[in-house]
Amino acid sequence: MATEKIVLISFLAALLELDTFFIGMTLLSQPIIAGALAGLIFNNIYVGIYIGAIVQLIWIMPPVGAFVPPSSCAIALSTTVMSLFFFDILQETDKNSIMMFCLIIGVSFGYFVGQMDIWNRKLNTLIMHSFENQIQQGNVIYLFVIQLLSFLAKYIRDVIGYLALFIFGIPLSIKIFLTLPPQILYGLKLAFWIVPIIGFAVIFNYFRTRIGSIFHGLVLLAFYFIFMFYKENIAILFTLVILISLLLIHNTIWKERLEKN
Amino acid sequence: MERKVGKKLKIRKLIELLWAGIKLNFIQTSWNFERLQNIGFLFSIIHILKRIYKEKKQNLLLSIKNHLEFFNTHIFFSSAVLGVMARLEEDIKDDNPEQKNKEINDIKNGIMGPLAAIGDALFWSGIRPLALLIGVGLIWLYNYDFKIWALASLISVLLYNIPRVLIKYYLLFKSYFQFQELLLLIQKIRFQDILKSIKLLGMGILGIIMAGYLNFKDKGVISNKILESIVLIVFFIFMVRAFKKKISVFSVFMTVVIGTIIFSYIIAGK
Repeated sequence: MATEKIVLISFLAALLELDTFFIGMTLLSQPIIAGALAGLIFNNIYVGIYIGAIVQLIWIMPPVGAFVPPSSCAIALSTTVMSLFFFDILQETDKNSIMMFCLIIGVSFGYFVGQMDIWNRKLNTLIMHSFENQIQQGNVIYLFVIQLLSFLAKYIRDVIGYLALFIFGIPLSIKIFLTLPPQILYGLKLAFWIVPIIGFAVIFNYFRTRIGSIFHGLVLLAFYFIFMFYKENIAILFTLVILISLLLIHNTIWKERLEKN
Repeated sequence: MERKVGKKLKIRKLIELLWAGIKLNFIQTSWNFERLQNIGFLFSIIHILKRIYKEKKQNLLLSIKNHLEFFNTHIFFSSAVLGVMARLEEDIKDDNPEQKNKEINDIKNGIMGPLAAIGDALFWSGIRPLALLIGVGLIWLYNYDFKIWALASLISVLLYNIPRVLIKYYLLFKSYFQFQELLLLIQKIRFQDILKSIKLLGMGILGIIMAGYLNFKDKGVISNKILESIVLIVFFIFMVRAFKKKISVFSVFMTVVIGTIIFSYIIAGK
């Protein structure tokens, strides 16, 4: 059953990988969705959602121009699947240490998938040159052939990459994990405690403006104390923050310009 | 009779454009380091070129050669370039094909840069991180069960895809039918102000999500919740400073891993 699931998740992962850059870019490949889908297939959606939410904010960078980021989809998917395998075998070990260990391997795999995307783009140049003359002579069907070959090269490569990771990588990493001393396991647990904060810092960096930074600090402080005493109706508080933000946006950015018009 | 033919032609052109818009989803499939999105763009526009140069094969070959050149713009704003190109290929006379191709190429090169800049800023630095932040935020603020996840994912996907689809197809048709107004429209829309607004909204939402995360987080490493929050906020400030200094995410991630392992050895030694 596990073998069937590994094959299924590898084909699904490769399909999702296409959405990261090559086709559509619809967000369906984002960790928040990919991680949960992996969890769903392996009967523990909770772990998939949790890992997906952590990975999502940290590796949110999109591919712009010639920049190829690591595959956040690969990080979330591989970390989730590996963590769930580890949980089955190492039931007594701290789960946070396991998830952090798997996240490190997942991150390495995500960067490797990013590197494979660079190779794919180089391969695409070769494919283009192979059929360019035919296209210039009016055989436009070769445009479709180029697209299809590029698609297949990426898809097949990713299926093989995921299968290799799950079939060879999981047993190997479990063996490595079992040799780790307790100090390293505790260090991993501590790291897993800090890691979500990296995601918040990444987003802060994306949205950083002078007024925005002050506003963020005020909202954080105010709602930290509100949440200490009041944890009901979070949706109302969330809406309240959106309304305050919109008011601030109106007063600082749009008011003057709208009045001028 | 003429009106009927004109209407039929317009419907045909609409369908052609729609088909080109769908094919634009594959613009990056054969992305290459030499000419970037050229194959994807030509793949999307080719059926329109074939209709325009139905009886002039030589001109079709010249146009194909022209569109095989370098092309790169934002994936969702590429529809505007496609609309303009389709219109120009139709409108500019074929008396001097080389001059025509040069003119088309100049316009293409002139608009793809600014459109890429607007698209990158608006989508990659604005709408996309905001949509994902809201999705992740809902999960952090509530819990990790299936219903919340489904709702959070749906909200993220819709927040991102509704503007994506609307902008893409609006620009496609606008640039084809009123291409002269396109630049005026782009100048009119205050993209910078929209982006600033998104960033400010994002900062407010990030504030409440962080407050919720620090409060609701269970099984922390430090038993005192307030002390734990202060420690995490100190880490947050260090990380923000690191990113401001252009230190990569990977370096920060590895520093956390190595730093915590060293720390655990130090406390074990004591």
